[in-house]
Amino acid sequence: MGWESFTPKLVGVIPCGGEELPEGEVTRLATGIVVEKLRKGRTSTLCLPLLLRKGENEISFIENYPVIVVDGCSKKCGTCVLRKLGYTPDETVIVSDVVEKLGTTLSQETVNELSHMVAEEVAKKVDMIFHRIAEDRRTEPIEL
Amino acid sequence: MKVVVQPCSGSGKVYGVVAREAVRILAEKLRPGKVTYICLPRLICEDEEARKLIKENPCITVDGCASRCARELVDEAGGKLLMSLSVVEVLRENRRLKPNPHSLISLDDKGCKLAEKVAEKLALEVDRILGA
Repeated sequence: MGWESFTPKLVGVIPCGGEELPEGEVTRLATGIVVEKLRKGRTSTLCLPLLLRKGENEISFIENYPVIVVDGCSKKCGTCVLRKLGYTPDETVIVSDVVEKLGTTLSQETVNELSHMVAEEVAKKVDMIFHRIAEDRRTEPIEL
Repeated sequence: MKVVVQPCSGSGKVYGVVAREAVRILAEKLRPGKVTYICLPRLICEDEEARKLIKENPCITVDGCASRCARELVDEAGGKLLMSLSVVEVLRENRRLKPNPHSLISLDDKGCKLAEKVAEKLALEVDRILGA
């Protein structure tokens, strides 16, 4: 058995996918960019509505794999849903915070550009989780 | 009065993306000013404003898959649900429009056309509800 057997191969990325604000669209697009391009093969996305309805596969996933929630605004619905189900996300990215940090404004025209920036943030968090898992397995070497 | 047309917007499957796009076409092009929608997770996070909106206005849900998440969630939250449409139902009538299942970032041509078909169907329902 190789070392891969002992560490999760996937990190789940859950966008809030809110329809009302462009921030929600950014969560969806950024998640797609991470899953299909930036960290392809190491990440997977989950349907938030199916999680809300306690879908068997979705619940099984969050019980067994680390997850990152991508929320659009300060309402943090994605995080709220996970907490309601009794789980805490391993990492979160909030689009409105990224917008504020960059000192930019979000409009329909800037959605694509911002989605790539948010995707980069999410990809960093994916790497952080894998790094943390690897660190957690490290102990002081013992003499045999 | 506006009709609340609520997509599931499930991001894990391409049909959720089609549902979302269909509602956008409906709200922005086909029936602007006549329909509205909310962020679906708000219903779960005890957002009173969102719950009030679906209780006081007629609702149509658009689901990507057979789990019918939007319909169930709107129904459970006490929404005035008048109709529920599934993208897969529309696909059955338009089999040549099966989208690439991996196009989660942006829909392919078939996915866009399927979204237009769903939006046209929704527009008829909106007219029927507002006309009644």
